[in-house]
Amino acid sequence: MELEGLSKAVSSGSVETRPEILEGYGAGNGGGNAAPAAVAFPQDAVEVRSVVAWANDRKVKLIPVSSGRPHAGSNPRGEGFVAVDLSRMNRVVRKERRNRVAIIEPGVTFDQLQAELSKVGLRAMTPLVPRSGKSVLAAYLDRTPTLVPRAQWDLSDPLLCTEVVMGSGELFRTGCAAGPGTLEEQWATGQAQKNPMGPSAFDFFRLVQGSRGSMGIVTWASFKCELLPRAHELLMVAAESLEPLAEVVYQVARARLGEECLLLDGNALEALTGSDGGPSYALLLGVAGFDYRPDQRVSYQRKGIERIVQGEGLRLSRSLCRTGGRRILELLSTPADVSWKDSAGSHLDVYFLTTLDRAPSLLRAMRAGAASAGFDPYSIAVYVQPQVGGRVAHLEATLMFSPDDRPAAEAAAAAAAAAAAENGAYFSRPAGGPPDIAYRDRPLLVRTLRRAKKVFDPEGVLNPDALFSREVV
Amino acid sequence: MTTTTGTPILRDEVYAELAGIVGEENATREPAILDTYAFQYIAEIVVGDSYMGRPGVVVLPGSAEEVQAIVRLCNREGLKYKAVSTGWGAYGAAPEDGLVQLDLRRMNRIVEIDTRNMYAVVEPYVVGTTLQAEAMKVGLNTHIVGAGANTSVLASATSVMGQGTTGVSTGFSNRNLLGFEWVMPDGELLRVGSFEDSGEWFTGDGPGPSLRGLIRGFAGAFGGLGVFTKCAVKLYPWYGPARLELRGVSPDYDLDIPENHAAYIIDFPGWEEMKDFGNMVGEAEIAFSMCHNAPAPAIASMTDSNLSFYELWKGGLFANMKHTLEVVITARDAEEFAYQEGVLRDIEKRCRGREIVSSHYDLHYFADLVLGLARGMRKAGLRTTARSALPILRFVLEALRKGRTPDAFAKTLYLALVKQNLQARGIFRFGGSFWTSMGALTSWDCCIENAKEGERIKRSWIEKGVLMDDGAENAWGGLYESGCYGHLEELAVYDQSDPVCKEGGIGFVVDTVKATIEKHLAFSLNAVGDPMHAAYSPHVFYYHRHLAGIKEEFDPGALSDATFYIDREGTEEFIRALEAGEEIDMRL
Repeated sequence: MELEGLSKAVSSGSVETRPEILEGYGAGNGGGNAAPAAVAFPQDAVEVRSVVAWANDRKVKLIPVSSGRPHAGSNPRGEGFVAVDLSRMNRVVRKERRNRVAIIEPGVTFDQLQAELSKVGLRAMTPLVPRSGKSVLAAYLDRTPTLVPRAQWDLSDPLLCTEVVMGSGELFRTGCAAGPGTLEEQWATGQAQKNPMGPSAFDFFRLVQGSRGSMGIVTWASFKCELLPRAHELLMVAAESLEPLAEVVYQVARARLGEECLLLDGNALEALTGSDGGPSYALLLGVAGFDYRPDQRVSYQRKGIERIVQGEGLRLSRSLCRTGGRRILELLSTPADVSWKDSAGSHLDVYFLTTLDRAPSLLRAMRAGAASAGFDPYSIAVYVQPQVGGRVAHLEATLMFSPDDRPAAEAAAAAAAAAAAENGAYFSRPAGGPPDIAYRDRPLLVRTLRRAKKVFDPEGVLNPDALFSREVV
Repeated sequence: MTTTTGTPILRDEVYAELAGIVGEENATREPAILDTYAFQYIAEIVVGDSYMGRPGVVVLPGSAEEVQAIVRLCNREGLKYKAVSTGWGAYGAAPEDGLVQLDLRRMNRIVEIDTRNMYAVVEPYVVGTTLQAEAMKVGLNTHIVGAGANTSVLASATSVMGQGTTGVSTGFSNRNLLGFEWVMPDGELLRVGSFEDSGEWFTGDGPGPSLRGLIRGFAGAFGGLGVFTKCAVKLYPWYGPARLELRGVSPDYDLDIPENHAAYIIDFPGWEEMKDFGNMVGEAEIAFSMCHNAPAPAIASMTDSNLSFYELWKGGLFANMKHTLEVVITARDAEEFAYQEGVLRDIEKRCRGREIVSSHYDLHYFADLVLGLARGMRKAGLRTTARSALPILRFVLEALRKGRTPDAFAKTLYLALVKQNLQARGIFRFGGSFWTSMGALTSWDCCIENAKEGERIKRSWIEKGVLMDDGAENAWGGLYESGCYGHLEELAVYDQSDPVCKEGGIGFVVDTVKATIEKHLAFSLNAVGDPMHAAYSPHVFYYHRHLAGIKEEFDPGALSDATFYIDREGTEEFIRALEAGEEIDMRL
């Protein structure tokens, strides 16, 4: 591939072609991806545009990467594509207490962000134990679930406005950040890039989100922040099965109580805490007070939750896996160098969306599927994350295994996903299951997505195989 | 053959085919009926005439399959079509004659209320008040838009906008949309979201990108991108009774405000304190509703005739009490109520707010009332206060004579905000018609800047005799999603039968559009239709190109009426004119 033009598109020394570097962009989570011909490291939106313009001229495919490796199978097939690594665009552009908002570039990590936000009394919503070095924007653009369903009004939250380079090479801004006016001019009138809708009669950010880099490359985004609690504690409830805990979650959601709210099984808790003795299932519920009467808020919320828990014949636990609430609360959102899921050496996730009331039966189906492939169904770690105020549940099953056992684990994960799909699992994020499971028997949907992509990426340069394979098409 | 506007005239055999799809009794070409679809509120401002175009035929489909058959027929015959559900003025019609109007009133079922997962699935003609009544029976509530409780839930969620007075706790219609069923412009039927895989409608996002982003943004396509035949919307917890028992006769309803609920109007020294208060109450997450109604429509809502409104208004005192926010609290129990009201009053204190109306009678309120009225009188001056005193006294005595108790204002306020039942009374009545302006969805601070600018511009149009003197400050709106963003639109009241108003009304709108662009006051809710796109798009990343790209990709024949959506050629023609320094006619 002729890369002279690419070198001109970015700052000096910002194109890598050394094989040992390129290999890292091809390995993916579990291998199977082709390596790119080059990696470009743009410094800003201007350079991103130049790279995309170059790709359009040469009909070269691009895969945007902000942190870590691309998902398995998500790279274009064959050789001759270029990775666009955004990790050097890592500024926290703005953080603002009054409007509870921050603007960040794609290379900003959770570790970096939390330190910045706490200085102004804010915190970011995090996924469960984010990986150290994980791009905040990548997580939000992938609709990775966050821990506080009460704060999530829309499945797209906490993502708000974005600046995007479309596949066509045009620069665009979404939501009220689009204008009129520059960011500085908008700030001068008190704006804060908090309305994600529009501009006008389309939400381009919704098409970019979940597209795994196939619609546009985001160069910065604003997102909702939450206030840093002045009082904060974790309530924990253990149970023999998922059903009574799901009932508690429903009631808590209806009462709009609590902050962090998630369900873990014993395997997940043991792996997370590094201690054994986990219960069958546990509900973790944070309660917090903020700037106004924090102790009073914690008090009435705690009492409300206790009443609900007792009403279901359950009781609050002081510790789980010999670990107290304070420590578990800390573990939930602190970035970790090594994933808790890798306690056996490696892992595979199957995840999808459902509703809380259907989660137990889907879990049973998945376990049966995994068992049929020879995997111990009760070694699967389970994480259920209520989302959008409790209306939706992210159900995640993690198969933890020794790296030597990967083929068997892959077969088990595929069987578990297929069983879940047969029972009504919704693979909203295609990477949650085997390739194409999300688009099976949906030809009109696939055609519609392809037509939408054509509007914004007419030459199809951005990650064309990210969502579904050519077989599905 | 075509009509004078170039639309193909509906052939008899095509009409027969349409009637065959929906049944003879559900299709008509009767001119008198067709005219009822053309005579629309605000048409005089939008197109300069009281009538929009007369449709060639009206059909009333009863199912998605019938809608699909009609759209396919329109594609085969090259006929333009437009769907309307409950309609709201000109937006449900088109300026040109002859299109196929799909009236969706037969599709009026609440398909499902999923109580546990807090969402409802509705057909197009389900209105806010119906869904609310059903939802309240199971402890839930729905977001009702400012257009009123009698407007379509689906239209707002899929196709229009979505501002409403309970947005601080019930969001915005765009954000409440979950899965949906879409007869695409070419007649294909796509169910977007979780339904096809799970049999449930709990999300509209994915797999992969969310097609919610294709069909709407801040605004919807207003019928310009096919027809939506079903959708799921989020419901929200309701901590009141299963039924709000009303007494009396419309519009003078009375009710008992439920236990642990309360309603307040809080007066501030000025706009800056209103900014602070809105931001603080938003982030404290204690309000069920928090919004602003200007004094004129608020008084119109609380009086039973235009005469009694005018008697109260003309003294001038109330026009000086314009820095107010209305708040409703709905707590689950006494302990939560104590927390919420405690926080509210802490914030009032920090922002120098005074409760001038409250359903919660205590010493705090009575002290606030005295101090708040005193502040209003100080702002108004002695002469204005004296001029207002007698009409106010008369009004109070008359209200008492009718048996209204002193808490009637708080009750009316509570009803107005919870059930959204006073919009028409408050804004249409004293002028006859109104249009709106500014109204960007943006940070609350900038919303207030919109209100200030809107008031300034409107004052000049009142002085020209084009708009009614409503005190100039007539901003309406509130906050959404715990104060994440807000909106304040500047309402302008006019007499639609007065040629001066009809001719000049658009001038007010044009001035506000220019102000939002030049002063960077965010993207106005008026940015709908080609002339408005032309005004905004060059300042907003030429968004019209992408919007037109969607339209052209999914409706290459441009058959789904795009009057309030996008036409690339039309928009770019206006842009060229503006770039050449020409004034363009912002009417459609």
